[in-house]
Amino acid sequence: MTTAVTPNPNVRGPFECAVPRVINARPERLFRAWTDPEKARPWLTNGGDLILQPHVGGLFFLNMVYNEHTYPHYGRYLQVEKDRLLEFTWMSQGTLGKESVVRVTFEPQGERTKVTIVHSGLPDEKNRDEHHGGWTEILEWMEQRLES
Amino acid sequence: MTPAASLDDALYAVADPTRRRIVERLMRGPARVTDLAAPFEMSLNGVSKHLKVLESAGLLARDLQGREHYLRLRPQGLRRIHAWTSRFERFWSAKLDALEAQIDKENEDR
Repeated sequence: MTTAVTPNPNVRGPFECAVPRVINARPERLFRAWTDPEKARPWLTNGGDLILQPHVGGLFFLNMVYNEHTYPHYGRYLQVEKDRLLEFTWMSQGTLGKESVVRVTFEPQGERTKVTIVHSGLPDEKNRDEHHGGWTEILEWMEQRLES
Repeated sequence: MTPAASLDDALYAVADPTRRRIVERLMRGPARVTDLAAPFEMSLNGVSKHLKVLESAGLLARDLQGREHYLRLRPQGLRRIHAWTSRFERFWSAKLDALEAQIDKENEDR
């Protein structure tokens, strides 16, 4: 089964990266690991505070602990489909304070689940109204050129 | 120019397909503006605008040889973009490592 993916009108910039992973658990368990604060705290924020309101328009807030520093990340949920899809906006120091979009899909593969994170809309104010090639294309292009 | 602003400029510069092709051409070696205009079927003015964007983003340098301006690439600019974007990939990859470790541990404890 593949999750139907519609183009996201909220994406702010033309760049994106995708990180897929097959994990040894069923989608409902992984969905809970993303939406239940007690399950999410250890792996997602490394013990930092977090607020997860997984419904459309709900708040998404993480205090990410890293090297004894705390890095706030916040956004709101754009799409929530139980055990299938989570999509939320994502702002942090890392996105230069601009709004980006994280989409997480859960696809069952037998007893396991393919989790795919697509982080798009990176960055940028100047690109807001332009629609250029995807980030993957640009990244591949640069990797090829930098290696040669 | 702050590092953040210059990164923004560099990302903006390579988001355009024509500018990526210009950069690609310059990876084969320096070229004059006229050399660049011909293959892209563009006016000198059009190419100049693109070059200006690439130049102010720190991706290009100009050398004067006699009366001719030669453009060459400054790969540091591209490397900076690459380092910045791969940060997100590494970040999510590390988070999924942590999630996977947590799930595996729970599986063992069952």
